[in-house]
Amino acid sequence: MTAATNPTGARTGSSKVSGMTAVTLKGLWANKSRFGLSSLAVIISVAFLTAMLILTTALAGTTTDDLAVANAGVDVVVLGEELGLGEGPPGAEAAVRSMVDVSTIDALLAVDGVDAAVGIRTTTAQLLGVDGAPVVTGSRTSLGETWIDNETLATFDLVAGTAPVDGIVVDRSLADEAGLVVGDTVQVLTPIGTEIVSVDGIATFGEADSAPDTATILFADGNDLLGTGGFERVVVDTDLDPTALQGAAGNGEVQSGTTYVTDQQSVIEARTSFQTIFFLAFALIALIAGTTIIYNTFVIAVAQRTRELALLRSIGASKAQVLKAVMGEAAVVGVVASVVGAVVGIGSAYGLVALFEALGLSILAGSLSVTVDSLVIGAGVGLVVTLVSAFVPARKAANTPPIAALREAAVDPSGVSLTRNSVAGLLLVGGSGLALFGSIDGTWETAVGGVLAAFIGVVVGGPMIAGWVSRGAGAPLALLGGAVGRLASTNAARNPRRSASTALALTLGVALIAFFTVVASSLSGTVAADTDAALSADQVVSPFAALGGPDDVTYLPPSVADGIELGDGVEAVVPLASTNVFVDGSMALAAGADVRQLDQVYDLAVVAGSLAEVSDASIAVQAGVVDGVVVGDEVTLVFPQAGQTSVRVAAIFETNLPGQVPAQYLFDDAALAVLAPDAGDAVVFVSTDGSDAAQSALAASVEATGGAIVQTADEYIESLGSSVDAFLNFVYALLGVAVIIAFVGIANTTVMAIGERTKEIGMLRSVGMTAVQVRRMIRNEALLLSLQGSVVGLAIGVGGVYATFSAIGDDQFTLDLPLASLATIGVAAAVSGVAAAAWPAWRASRRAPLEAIAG
Amino acid sequence: MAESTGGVLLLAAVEYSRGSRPEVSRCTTTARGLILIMMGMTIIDIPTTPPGRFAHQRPAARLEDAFKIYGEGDSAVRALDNVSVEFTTGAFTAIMGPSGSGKSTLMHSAAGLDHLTSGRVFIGDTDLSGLSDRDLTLLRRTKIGFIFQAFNLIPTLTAAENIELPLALGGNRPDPSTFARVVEVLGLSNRLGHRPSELSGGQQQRVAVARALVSEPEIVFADEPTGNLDSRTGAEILSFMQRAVRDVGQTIVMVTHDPTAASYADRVVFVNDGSIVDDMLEPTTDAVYDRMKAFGR
Repeated sequence: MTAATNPTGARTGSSKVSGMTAVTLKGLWANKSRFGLSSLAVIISVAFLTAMLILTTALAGTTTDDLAVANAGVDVVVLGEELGLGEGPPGAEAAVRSMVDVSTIDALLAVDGVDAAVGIRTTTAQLLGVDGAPVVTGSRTSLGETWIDNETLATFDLVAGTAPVDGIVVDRSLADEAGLVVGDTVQVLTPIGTEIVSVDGIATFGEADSAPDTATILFADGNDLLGTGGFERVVVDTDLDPTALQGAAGNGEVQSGTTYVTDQQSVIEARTSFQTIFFLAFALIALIAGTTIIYNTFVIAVAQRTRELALLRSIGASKAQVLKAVMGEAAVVGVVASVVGAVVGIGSAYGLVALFEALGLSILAGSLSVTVDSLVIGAGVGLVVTLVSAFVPARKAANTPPIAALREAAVDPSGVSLTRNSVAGLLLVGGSGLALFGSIDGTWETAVGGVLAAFIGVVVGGPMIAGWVSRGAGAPLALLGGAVGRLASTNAARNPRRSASTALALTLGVALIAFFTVVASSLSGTVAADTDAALSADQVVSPFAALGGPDDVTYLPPSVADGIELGDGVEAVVPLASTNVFVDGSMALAAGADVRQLDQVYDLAVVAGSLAEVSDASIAVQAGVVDGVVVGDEVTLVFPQAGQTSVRVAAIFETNLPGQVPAQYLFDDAALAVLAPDAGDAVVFVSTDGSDAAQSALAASVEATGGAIVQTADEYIESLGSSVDAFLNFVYALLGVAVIIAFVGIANTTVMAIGERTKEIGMLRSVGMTAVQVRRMIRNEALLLSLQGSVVGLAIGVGGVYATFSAIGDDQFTLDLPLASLATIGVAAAVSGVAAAAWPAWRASRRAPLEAIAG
Repeated sequence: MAESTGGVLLLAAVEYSRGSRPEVSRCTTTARGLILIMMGMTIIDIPTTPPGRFAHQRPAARLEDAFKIYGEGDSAVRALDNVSVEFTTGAFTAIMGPSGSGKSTLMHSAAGLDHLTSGRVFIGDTDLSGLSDRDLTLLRRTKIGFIFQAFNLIPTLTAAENIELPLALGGNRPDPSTFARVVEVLGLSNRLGHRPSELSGGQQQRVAVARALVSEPEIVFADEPTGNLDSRTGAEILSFMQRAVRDVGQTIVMVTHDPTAASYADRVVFVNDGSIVDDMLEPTTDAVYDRMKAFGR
C-alpha cells in the first residue's frame, strides 16, 4: 500500500513491480486470519487428495508384470468354455468358465510335441488356527491351488521348505501376515472340508511375494481338499502352436501363455483402476468442497477491499496490475497451503489405512510407499484449483472502476438475476421431471441424468434457494428468537450468493451421505427384514463373517452340519449350500437344501406349486426372476462343473433366501451336490427346544469342527447387515472429509461476515444487544447456512436414490428410507453450522462495543 | 451557593487554562485544588451544575472524579483528568472541545460504553462502575439512547424495525402512541417500510433519532449527529432533538465540534486536555465560536 502510493514507484518500471508485490504481500498479511481458514480448506483437500494418490499408488503396487514373470514357462493354457461374467466391479468382472475335463491331460500328452501338461484345480480356501480362529488375509482373495510339480511350468518358487506333500505351501505374504514358518501346524478350510496340516514350504509368485490380490495356499496334486472334479486350467509346456492343441482340448479354449497372462492382467488392471477411480472420486468431492471455499474467500475479500483496489486504480495502477496483485495473493496461499497439504497428506494416508482397518476394512495388502509423483500431483492440483477459483474474483477486482473509491462500499443487494433463476428453475423442474420419468419408464440413464440436472440446478439456483431458506426458516426463527432471530434471518439473506456457495460444500456432502445411507439401508434392510420374517430356526451356524475382502465367499466345513446330531433338544438341522450358476450368460445363485425340512426353519412363502415336488430334476424359482415362468416350465441353467442342465419348475417362492445365500434358484441338496460338487454349506439352520442342554450340545459340536460360529437367530439377522455397514462406515469416513471442509467453510464465511459488520455489531451492542444475543444472532445465521446444505442435500440424496433405483427396478432391492438415520444426518449437518460459528461468534461478542464502532 | 461557587471555580480554572497549553491540565488542577483549600469547600461543590431553569432537577447522568488514563508511566495519556460533571434531566447539553480533548471519552464513559480508570459514573441513580457487561447492556437498552455520526442503521431492517430494535432486543414493543408521535414529529410516517439504502442521509439520521427517542430513555447520547450531513439537513436534525427536549423533557447530551450545532443546546460544556474548562449556558453560535477559538492558541 505504502509503496504503491509512492509516486516515484508508480513511474519507474522496476519499482512499480515491487510496489504491487508489496501490495500483494501486505494484503495477505493484513488479512491473514481470513486466508488462514480458507488455506485450511485447501490444506485439507490437498492432504486428502495426496493421501488418496498414495493409497491408489499402493493399490496398483503389485505390478501385473508379476503374472508374466511367474507364467514365463507356460506356453499354452487350456481353459474351460466361458459361461459368463462373474463378480467384480463394473468393467472388471472376471469371466467364469466351465471346468476342463480331467481326460484332457492325457489327450494333450498324447499330442506329439507336448513336453508336459499339468491340470490345476482351484477353490476358495482359508487358513484357520488350530483352534479354528480365522487368519486374516487382508483384502486378498484366499485361494487354494494345485502345486505345479514341474520346474518349467511352476508359477510359484520355493524360498523355504519343500513342495507340499500332505501339507501345504503358502505364499510369502501370507506367511508374513500369519506369522507362519515351515513346520507350523495350521487348519485349512475349503468347501470340501477341513484338515489340520503342516506348512511344508513358503513360496514366491515369480519374483513377487504373492500373486496379485491373492493369498494362495498350495496343495499337492490330488489333495482331496481341492475337490476331484475337472481342472480350472491346464498349463502346457510345448513348442507347438496353440491351435495345434485345439483337437486335444475338446470344448476347452486354448490360449497361448501370453494371451492368458494378458487377459489376467487386464482384469486386474480394470479392478485396480476401478478402485483408483473410486478413491479419487472422493478426493474430487473434497476438492470441489475446498474450491467453493477458496472461491468464496476471494469473492468476499475482493468485495471488502473494493475501495482499496479502486484507490490503487485511481492513483495509476493498471487493471493488469490489480489482477496480478490478487492472483499473487492466490498464488502465495495456493503454494503454501498446497505444500503443507501434501506433507499432511503423507500422514493422512497412514491414518486412513489405520482408520479403515479399525472399521474392519483392510484395503491394502502391502505397505504404503510415498512417491514423489503423489506429492507433486497433490500439491500441483491444489495450486491450480486455488488459482482457478481466485481468477473470477480477481478479474472482478481488476474491473473495479476508480470511482468506486469514492463510493460507500455497497453490500451485494441481490446477487440473483432473473436469468440465473430461470435457468436454475428450468434445471430443477426439468431435472426432477426427467428423474421421475426415468424412474417410471425404467431407463436409469434418464433418471441419473435428471438427478444430475437437478443438482446443477441447485448449484445455479443456490442464491435463490438461500433466499427461500432464510425466508422459510427465518419466519419461525424470528418468532422464536424475536429481534435476534429476525436479525439473523435478514443477515443470512443479505448476500444470497455467498450463502449459497458456502452451503454448497455441505449440500454436496450431505447429498452423498444421504444417498449411500439409503442405499445401504435398503440393501441390508431388505435382506434382514425378509430373513427376520421367514426364519423360524432359533440357532444359526455361520462361517466366520467378514474375513478379508468382499470377494471372499466363506464356506462352512462340511463336517459342521454332519457333526450336529439330532436329539438332546436339537430338533432340526438344515444346511443351505450355494453355488454360482449361469442363466443366459448372467451369473445367478443356486441354493441347495433338504426341501422337505426347509419349511421347519425358513418360510419361503411358496405362491405356486409345492416344495415337496422339488426333486432331482425339478427346482423352485423365486418369483419375478424368470419372466412369465409358471409351474411346469423348463429352465436351463449352466453349472461350471456339470455344464448345461434343464430342470422343471416345481414351485415358485416369494421370500428372499437368507442373507448370505440370496439365491434365486433352489435345488434339492442331493441334486445340487451332483451338479456342483464343490458347493459348500453357507449356513446351517438349527431348531432347538430352547433348552440349555440343546445349546451347549450345539456349541460343543461346532467348536469341535472349528471354522464356524453359532449365533442366535437375532444375532444372525443383526450380522447380515454388517458387511454393508462396514462399507457404509468406509464411505462415511471418505465423505467426512468433504463435510469437515464444509464446516471450515461455514466458519470462514462467518468470520468474514463478522469482519464486514464489525461496526454494525458494535452499534447493536451499544443500543442494548447483550453478548449472549450477539452470539445467538451469529450462530443462527450459520444455522441458516447449514440448514440449506442439510435440507437441500437430503432432498437431492434421497431423491437421487429413489429415481435411480426405481429406474433400475431390481426386485431384490426394496427402497428403504431409514428415517431415523436421515434425520440424524440432517440435524447433525444443521448443528455443524452452529458449531462452526461458535468460535467466531464468541470472539465477536467479546469485542467491546466502542472498539467495534471506532474500528 | 454551591452553584455560584462552582461557577467561580470554573472561571478560575478557565483563566489558567488559557495559559501555555502543555501546562493547562496541571495548572487547572492545581488552581482548583488551591482555591478549594482556601475556601474550605467540600468536594460536593465540584460538580459543575448549570444554574437557571434546571437547577431543581436531579441529574440524568453524572461523572464523579473521573479519570481515564491510557498507557503507563511517561507515555501515559490522561483522556479524562479528574472530571466531575452532571447532565441535568430535561436539558440539551453539548460537549465541545478540540480534537483529542477527551470529549468523546467523556461521553462514552458517561454512556457506559467505556470504563473509567477511576471515578464513578451514574445514570440516574445507578452506579455503572459495579455493573457486569450484561447489566450494562441491559441498562443501555432501557435507559440510554444513542445517535451516531455514521447513522449506524441495520441495512437489512426497515426503518420501522430499526426504530423498534432496542426495545425488540428486550422482547418489547414501543408504546404505540410514543412511536406514532416520534415518527410523526420526525416526518417518517411514509418512510417506515423503507430500508436504509432507500433513504437519504438526513432521513437515515432521523430514523436513528427516532430509534434513540422511542424507548423514552433517561438520557440520549449523540456523537456528532450532524457530522455526516449538510448544514440544512443537520439543522433539521438538531431542531428535532431540541424539540424532544423542549416538548417532552428528553435529556440529550451531544458531542460536537460545530459551534452552530452547539448553539441548539441549553448548555455547552467545554473540554480540553481531559478536563472541563468552561461551562456556558444559553449558548449562541458566536459565543461558542469565540470560546473554541481560544483553544487554538
